Amino acid sequence: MPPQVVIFSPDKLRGGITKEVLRRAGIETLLISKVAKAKGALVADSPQALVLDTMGCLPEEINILLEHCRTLKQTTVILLGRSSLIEAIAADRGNTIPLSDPLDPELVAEKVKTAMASPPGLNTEEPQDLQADLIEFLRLE
Amino acid sequence: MPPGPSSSPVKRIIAVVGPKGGVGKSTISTNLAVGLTAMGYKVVAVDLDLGAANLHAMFGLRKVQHTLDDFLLNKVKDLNQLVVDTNIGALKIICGGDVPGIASLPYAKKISLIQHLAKLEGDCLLLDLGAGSSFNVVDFIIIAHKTLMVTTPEITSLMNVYSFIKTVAHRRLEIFFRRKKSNDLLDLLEKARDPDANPHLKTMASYFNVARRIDMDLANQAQKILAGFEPLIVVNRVETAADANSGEVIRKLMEQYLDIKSSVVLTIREDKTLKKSAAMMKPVVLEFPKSSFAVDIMKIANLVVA
Repeated sequence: MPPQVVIFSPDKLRGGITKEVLRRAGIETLLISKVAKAKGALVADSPQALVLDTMGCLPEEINILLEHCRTLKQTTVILLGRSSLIEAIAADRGNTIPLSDPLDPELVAEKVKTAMASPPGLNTEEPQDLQADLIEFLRLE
Repeated sequence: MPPGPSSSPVKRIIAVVGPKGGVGKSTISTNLAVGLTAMGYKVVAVDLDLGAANLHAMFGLRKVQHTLDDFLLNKVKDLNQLVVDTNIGALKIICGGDVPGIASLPYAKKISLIQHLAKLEGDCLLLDLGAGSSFNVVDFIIIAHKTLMVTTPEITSLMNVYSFIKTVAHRRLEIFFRRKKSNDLLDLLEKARDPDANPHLKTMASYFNVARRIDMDLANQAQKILAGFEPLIVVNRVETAADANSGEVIRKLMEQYLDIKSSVVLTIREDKTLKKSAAMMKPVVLEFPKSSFAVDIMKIANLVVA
């Protein structure tokens, strides 16, 4: 069975630590450091989570992978890196979790577990209309 | 009637409210107090969660001689006698008590407490209020210069925030119309509380439209008072963009239905360090100053004193 989690990190140390901590948490991952291979893995495996480490990434590399993830609605993207960058990216997309540095691999494992606990395909639905729900439950109209 | 914000030794009164329990209000109050202290302000934090005090535990204060119960039970006459050092810079707190039933404060005692609070000395007075929408929570907000409404992204918490702010709005209007002895506008306000029976009064804007026909001048004054209520919505435990957006959703509903136009939405990210610092009984801002929670708290601290 293909791994359900892909880690993309140009930084060998950060990628290696994250992979090891996830392995100890019982999660098998595919660690990739080249964008083209990461793209291929996303297409072939449709993983439930992509851990995208932005440290050392070129902006084009981040954009390419995120663009690809748009077509994979069931893939939760966990962004690692500088808070100013990843917050801005996360604000623009749904199903994205920013975890700013310093790198906390245990927290990454926690978030990956949460992503994997959601049934595949659940995230393909449009998010519930919160405003409509609030109007209804508050009996505003 | 509860007094409005007035000239007092305390320059800024900040109320932290979390209508739904368990949203992280006391954690935010504690860390905000520490953050403001770090910025150089003389802060007094007051645990107003009557009957369920926990602020002292957040600071690791085990032996507290006097609490707010002593004031409320007339054992001490001056709130200054209850001020306790936290050993965190110039930060001081007044600890809450846990006498059963104390949360059902008699009106006169509540007014006395509010008046004494406003006389405490310092740069900032931070009120950590209890959960719920009772008048014994709502009325303390009236003296606040800034009110932080803490919620989480869950719909039930957001609903509680909306209902709380609606209660605050009605209460402010009620107090104003009672002061002005305007029975007609009070009657109209009473009708507005039953929107099923009075759909033409469903929104605050429609209420004021009708109120202006009864008394244009008073209605306009009342609307200005309400316009001065600028709660800051704080969405805690944010993990996704949708979570962060939930504050904006409730802000829009408040504007549309309650005519509350000027609330700011702030977010605090979910952060694992909270558990660690809670176990240590030390504020996150001190122990993990670079954590996302601490960074977000300092953004709020800068905003409340701006």
